[in-house]
Amino acid sequence: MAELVLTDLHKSFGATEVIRGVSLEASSGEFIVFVGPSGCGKSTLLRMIAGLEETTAGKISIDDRDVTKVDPAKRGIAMVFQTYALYPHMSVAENMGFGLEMSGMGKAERMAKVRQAAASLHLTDYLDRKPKQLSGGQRQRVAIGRAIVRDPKVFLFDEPLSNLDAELRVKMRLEIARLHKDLGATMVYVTHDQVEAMTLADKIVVLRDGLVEQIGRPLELYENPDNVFVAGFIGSPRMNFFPATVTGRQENHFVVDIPALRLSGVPVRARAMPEDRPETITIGIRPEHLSEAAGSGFSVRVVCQAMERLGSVSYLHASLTEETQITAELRDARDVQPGDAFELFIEPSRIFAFDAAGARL
Amino acid sequence: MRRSLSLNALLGASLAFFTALIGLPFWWVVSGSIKLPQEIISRLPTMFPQSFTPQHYQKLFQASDYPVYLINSLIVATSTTLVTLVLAIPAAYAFFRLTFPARGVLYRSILLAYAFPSIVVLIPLFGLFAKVGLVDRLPSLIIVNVAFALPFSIWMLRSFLAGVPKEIEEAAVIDGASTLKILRRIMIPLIAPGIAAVGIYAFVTAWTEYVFASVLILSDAKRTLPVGFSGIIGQYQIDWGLLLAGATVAIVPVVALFALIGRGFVSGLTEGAVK
Repeated sequence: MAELVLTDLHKSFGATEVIRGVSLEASSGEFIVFVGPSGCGKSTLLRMIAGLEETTAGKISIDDRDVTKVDPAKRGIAMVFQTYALYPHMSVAENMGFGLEMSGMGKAERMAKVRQAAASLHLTDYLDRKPKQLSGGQRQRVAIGRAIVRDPKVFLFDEPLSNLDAELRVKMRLEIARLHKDLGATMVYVTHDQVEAMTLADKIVVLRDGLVEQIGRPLELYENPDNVFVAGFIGSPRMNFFPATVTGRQENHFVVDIPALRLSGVPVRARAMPEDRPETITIGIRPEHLSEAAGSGFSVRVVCQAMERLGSVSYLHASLTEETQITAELRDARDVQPGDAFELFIEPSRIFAFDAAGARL
Repeated sequence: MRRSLSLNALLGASLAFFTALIGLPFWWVVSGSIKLPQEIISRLPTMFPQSFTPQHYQKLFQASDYPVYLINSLIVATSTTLVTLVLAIPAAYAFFRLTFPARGVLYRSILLAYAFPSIVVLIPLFGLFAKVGLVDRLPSLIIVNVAFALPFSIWMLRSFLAGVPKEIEEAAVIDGASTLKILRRIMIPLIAPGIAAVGIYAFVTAWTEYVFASVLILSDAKRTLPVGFSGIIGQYQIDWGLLLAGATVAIVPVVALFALIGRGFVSGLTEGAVK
C-alpha cells in the first residue's frame, strides 16, 4: 500500500520555480532519502510534505487521503529538524508531550506515552532536564522522541545529523536505522551526506534543480545510474569523466578512442544500443575501478599530484597531461609520492557510457 | 584574549569615570537625605554623612501629601506597564507573523507617534478628555502614557520575536498549536528579556512623566509624584532635606523593578533550542 504519494508537485517562490514537477510513491514502511546538491529543492520538497510550505500545484496524499491543503498537525506527519527546534523553556518531558497536549490528550496518558518513547531512546533519566542541559546527541534524540509520541504515519527528517560531530553522527545513523526497523514507519529523510543516503535508504531520490534525476535502491543508483549527474553525485570520490570518440559498435558495446587517456579501441558496454551510432560520447570510470595492480584491462601512465591517505584506502589525484586529471582509489599505495609516475589499470567492463545530453547509453 | 596592561588601565579608568558620573549624584541624593539640614547646606560639602537624622523622612510621610502622590504614581505607572504589555505583545506578534493588507506601511507609521512633541498634542488631548469626562482622573494619564509607550514597545518586541528561530515555531505548528497557543506557550516565554525591557521602559516613562500629569490633573489629591513633589519643594524657599528624601523614595520603585525583573534581561533563554 502506498503511504505517501506525490503527484506532479510544483512550488514557486514568486517567479522562481524551485520544484518543477516531482512525482513519487513511497510504500508503507519504506525509508526514502532525498539527496542532491544544495539548492536542488530537497528541503523545500520535505517542507511541502510537512505542510510548512504551500504547494503551488500538484497533490500530496498520505494514507490515501489528499492532504495538499490540510494543516501540518492534521496530516499524520512528524518532523525532526536539522536544528532540533526544541522548546528551550520546557523540560524534555514537556517537549515530547507538547504535541499530545495540543491534541487534547490527558496528562496521565500523555506521560505514559512520553515515558515509553523516552525509554526506547534512552532518555528516561533526562525527562526533567531542559534542552540546554543536554548534549547535541541527546537533544536530537529528544527531537526524535517528540516525533515518535505523535504516532505519525510518515516521519520527516530534515538533515537531522548535520549538526552532530562525526562520531555521534555514525551512532545516531545506526539509531535511526534501528528506529525505522522497530517502528516500521514510513520515513522521508533529507540529507546531503551520501553515506547516510546509501546506508539508510530503501529508496534514494536524487534531485537536481527541482526535478527528480533518478529514483532507485542505493546500489542500483551506484551500479546503474541513469545519467551523468547521478553517476557523478553518487559515489565518493566522484566518478572520472572523459570525452570519447566512437570508432565502432558491436552487439552490446561501442568501441571507442579516449584521447585524454591516450587509449584506442576500448570496448565500452552499453545498456541499450541506440539506433544510430553517436560520434562522441562521455565515458565514466569510478575511482575504485582503477587499480595499480596489473590486470587484463587497459593501462594509462599517470603522474601523482597528491595522495590522500585514509588508512584503509588512499585517494590518488594524478594527471596525464596538463588538462587531464584522474582520481583513483588505491588499496596499497603507501610508497607513492607526489611526482611519481606509474601505471593505472582500467577494467573496460566497469566503464559507463553517456550520450552528449548526459543520458546513460 | 590577553589585554595589555595599558589597555586594562584605560578600561578601568573609563569604567571608574562613568561609574562616578552616574553613581555620584545618586550617592549625593541618598546620603544627603539623612544629613542634618545644616550639614546639607554647609560650605564644605561632606562626601560621607557626619550626622544622621530621620527627620526629613518623617516630615515627608507625616506632614506632606507625598504618600498620596506616591500611591497615585504607583497606580498610573503599574497600570501603564500592564496595559502596554497586554496590547504590545499581541500587536508585535501580529506584525511579525500575520499577513494582512498594508502591514509594512502600518508598521513603519506607528513610530510617527514620536514625530510630535507632547506639548503639540496636549491642548487637543485636553479638549478631547474634557469632552469624555476624563480630565482630573488617573485613567487619562494611563491612556496617554500607554499611547506614548506602545509604538516603541511594539517595535522592540517585534525584533525580539524575530530573534526566535523559525524552526521552533514550525515545530509548534506541526505539534498542532494554534497561533494564540504558540504566542502564549512558546513565544512569550522565549522573549521574556524583551518583555522585561519593555515593561521597565513603560514603567519609567509613566513614573517620570510630567507635562501631561501637570495639565490633565487638576486636584491636588490626584497628582502624581513629579508634579506633586515639585509643589512640596516650596515656591520661595527650598527644603533641601525634604527634597532629597523625596527623591530617594522616588527612586526606590524603579530600583525594585530592576531588581525584580532584571533577571529577565539575562539573555541565552533560547540556548539549547537550536544547535
